[in-house]
Amino acid sequence: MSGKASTNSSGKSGRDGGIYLPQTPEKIKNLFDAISEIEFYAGAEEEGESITSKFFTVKQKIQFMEVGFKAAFISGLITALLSPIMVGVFENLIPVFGSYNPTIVDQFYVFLLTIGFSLGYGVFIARVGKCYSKDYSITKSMVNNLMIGLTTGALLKAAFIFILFHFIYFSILTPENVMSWLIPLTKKELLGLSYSNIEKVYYWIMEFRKTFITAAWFVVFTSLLLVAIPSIKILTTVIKDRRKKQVENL
Amino acid sequence: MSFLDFFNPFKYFDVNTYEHFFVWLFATLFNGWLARVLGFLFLILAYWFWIRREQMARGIGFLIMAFIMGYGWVLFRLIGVAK
Repeated sequence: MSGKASTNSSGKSGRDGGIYLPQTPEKIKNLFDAISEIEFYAGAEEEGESITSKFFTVKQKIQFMEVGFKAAFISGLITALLSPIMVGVFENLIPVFGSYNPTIVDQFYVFLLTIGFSLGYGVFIARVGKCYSKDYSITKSMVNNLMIGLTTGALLKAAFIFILFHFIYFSILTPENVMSWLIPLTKKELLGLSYSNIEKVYYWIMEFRKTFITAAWFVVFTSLLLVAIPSIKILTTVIKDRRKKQVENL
Repeated sequence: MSFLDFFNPFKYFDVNTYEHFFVWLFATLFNGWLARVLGFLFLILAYWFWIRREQMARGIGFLIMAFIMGYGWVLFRLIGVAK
């Protein structure tokens, strides 16, 4: 965390010349640490004067970017895993609540379940938006680095999943490949496969492979959503801040 | 072996009772309106704990339970209870 290099009688920094200086900074391990650190510095800068971003060292910058990157990447991977299942439900290929014909409520449930991680992370990270004031220096720098990591992670994840799902569609789950896997399994009667149901299984796989294309684009959408939620919050704070300044200058 | 016998459900229930329990569980808990109610409840709790209370671990826990309520039926199909 941080402590005061020069103490003052009021116990607050900045107002009478005191300044917060970082002591031995703790490692920012996760999103909670990063957001707590941002809130702490925002509080310090709100109470006193702005702290120069020179105190925000290269090591800390990398840690903040790393945390943002991990948050985007991990939440996105879970969403990516659930996306083909969600599309499968919408296409009546996978049952939800025991039914192959989902109602609007069922579809809404599956949609919320799939984007839950991205939405949860997005809303949680959006907390830093209120700490993004023009008057702050080190806090703004921290938020910027967190957002750079988050955006990079989200874009890389979206690209990775997009390529992977298209690869599955075009190169792995091709009719030739699926047949070459199903025939030996049917001969050995493995996984409940027999000559009576092989055709049904084949057509199900052929229909399910299409879900990967829709899911790939859906992952791109959720990645943008993850970045958009905190960005909109930051933008709102900046606009409010600007309006407040304009009113004060009148 | 006596130690492992403790975990053997057939020591306490006969095969039919055990099988009927899973059929009953499938027919009541993972299928129909009860599954929907519990699923939405777990999903609301997941969002509440994760976003509102900022308790990520509980949030993820409830999200997993919501997932099981939604797709548990498939699991029952795989283990052969649902036809």
